[in-house]
Amino acid sequence: MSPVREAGLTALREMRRNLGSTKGIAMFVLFFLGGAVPSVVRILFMKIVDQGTMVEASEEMKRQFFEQQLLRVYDADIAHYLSAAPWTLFLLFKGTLVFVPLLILLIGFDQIAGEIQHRSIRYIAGRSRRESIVAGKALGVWGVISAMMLVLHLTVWIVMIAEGGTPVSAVLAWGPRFWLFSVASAGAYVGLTALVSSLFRTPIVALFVGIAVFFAVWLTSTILGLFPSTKPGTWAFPSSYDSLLVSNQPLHVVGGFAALIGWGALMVAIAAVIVKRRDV
Amino acid sequence: MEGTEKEAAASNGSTPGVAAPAALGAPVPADAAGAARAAPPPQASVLPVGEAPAAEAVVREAPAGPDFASSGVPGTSKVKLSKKSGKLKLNERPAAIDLKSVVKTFGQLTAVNNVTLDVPDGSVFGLIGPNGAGKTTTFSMLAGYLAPTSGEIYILDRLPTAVDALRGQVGVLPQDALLPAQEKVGRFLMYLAALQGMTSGQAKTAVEQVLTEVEGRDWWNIKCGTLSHGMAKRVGLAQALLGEPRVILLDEPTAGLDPRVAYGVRQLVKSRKGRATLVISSHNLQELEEICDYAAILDHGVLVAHGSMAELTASSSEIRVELAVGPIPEEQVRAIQGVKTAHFDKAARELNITFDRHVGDAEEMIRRVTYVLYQYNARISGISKGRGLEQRVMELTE
Repeated sequence: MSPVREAGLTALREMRRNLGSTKGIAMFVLFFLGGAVPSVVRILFMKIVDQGTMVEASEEMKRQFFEQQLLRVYDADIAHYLSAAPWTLFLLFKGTLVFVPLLILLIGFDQIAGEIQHRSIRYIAGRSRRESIVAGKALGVWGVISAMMLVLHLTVWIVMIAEGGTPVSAVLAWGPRFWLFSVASAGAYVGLTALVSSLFRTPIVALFVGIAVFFAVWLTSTILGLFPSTKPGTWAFPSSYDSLLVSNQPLHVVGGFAALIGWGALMVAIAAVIVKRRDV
Repeated sequence: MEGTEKEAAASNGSTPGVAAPAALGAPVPADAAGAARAAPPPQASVLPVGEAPAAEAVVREAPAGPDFASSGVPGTSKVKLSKKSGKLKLNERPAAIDLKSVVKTFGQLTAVNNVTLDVPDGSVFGLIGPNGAGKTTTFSMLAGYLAPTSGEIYILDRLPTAVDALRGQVGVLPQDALLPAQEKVGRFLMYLAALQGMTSGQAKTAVEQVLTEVEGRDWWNIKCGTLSHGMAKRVGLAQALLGEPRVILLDEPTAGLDPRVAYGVRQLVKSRKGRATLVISSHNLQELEEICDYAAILDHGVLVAHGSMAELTASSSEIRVELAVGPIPEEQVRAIQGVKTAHFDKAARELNITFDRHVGDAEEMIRRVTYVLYQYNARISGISKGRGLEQRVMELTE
């Protein structure tokens, strides 16, 4: 049996286990609520506009205002390109990038540590390459988080279409795109979570260390980005590649996808080496 | 009980070595007859009944022609390994499992120290030893869970970590591995079967079959976390037996089980005899003595003895005769041809006799010894072959 098939079987099992578990259901509810909150905020905001408490701006004025805000973060080309997207969807995407790493950690911190702690891994270690187990588990978590993010995004898309303030074509053009960007970004953090989980036998230790590591990654990346001399150092961190995903250059987008997934794959590979070498 | 070394002194007079030669209709051996004087008429029916029928004890005979070298401990032996065509052989049977100078250390602690042994193909092999002896560490190395610090381990001529080459050929029941609590029994076993390379249809059939074997046909939709200890153990056993593996490693398969379930598990293991090579690590010596053909005794990480069960229990080279108050013809017994030593333990009131098994088998020696004892009016309370695994382990381990 090929390692790919082994990893695939493990990934499917992990997805089924996660989605069927109490934790998985709770996370789904959380993601659904995560999608409902911005939707409600948007509806309330639109009601305020309708009631005339705010001066209604033309679509072009809204786009220009949005572009101005985007220019604070992105260069002119990207800002102009992104200004065509519904701002709700863009904010949802940015929000996803902020919160999803933590949610990935909550879902995946015990994926390997838990199996080693309870020695459940012994049931599969004789039937599957350990590298495949690690890869399969990471793929499983990635699949679960992607499905959960889809629920989150889908909720917002449905509300936006039902509410009618945004053209359906814009929702359908940008919604799946932002979701895919989120999936790519999640890939990197899934890898990091797998690595942290592979280092410990006790899941709770993996969780707390994971939180510390994620915070350190964010903090280091942010500090390095503050100074021109250290800015190149930010390319060692996945958050830097998020900006490539929203580029107007297709090649940059592909590069961003490859970099994020590659970064995650590298972390999974290190985790696989650790698990392969350790006693279980 | 089958496999116990305590040999019966048959009440019906049909057991060789207990009834008088005349009663058996056999000629009195010259060596024994020469030492004997006029004997009273045979009264075999007054002799106490032992614990096991003689026919069962035959099961424990040493296999023909083993190449044993003395370990220096009376009645025990170590298997001499011979290398032939790159494979280690024991009794002309290919070795299913080979360990060569295996060492495992955890920091400063040496858990397994230079263990070399082989497990003959198709045999049931016991790993024996007190707590901390290195049984589970050895077992875990066999299963590929732990990597040896040095030395080599081969399962079916492959490294234990060669998962792809050994796929579906090795089944393992780990001692303390928890089943995935949230997963249903059927789903879990289906996943394991799929990893063994079975198609969905094959996996379903195999899982149903193996669940039936462990009397868990109705457990398909039960979550593993809700299983009782006994049920979980049997699910663990089911996954080890899944897909007819050639080598089955069982770590404490009956630990914590009630007697009825433990009996069922033993029967299940016995049913695999001959179909697979089984390695059983256990504290339950009676169980191992009952099931195993071969065993290894570990103590403080060192292999202190290993060989066939008959050799380990010395059942083919030692007999013990329990004598009631009365004459003790120690010298006369010592004079019997084939007897190497005869020593009467006053405290236990046991006459311990070791003999050259090339002169006669245990049954023949029992016949000769009892004849002499009978001639000298010794009052026999019981006769047993060897010492029993428990006693042997107590002698060999600290």
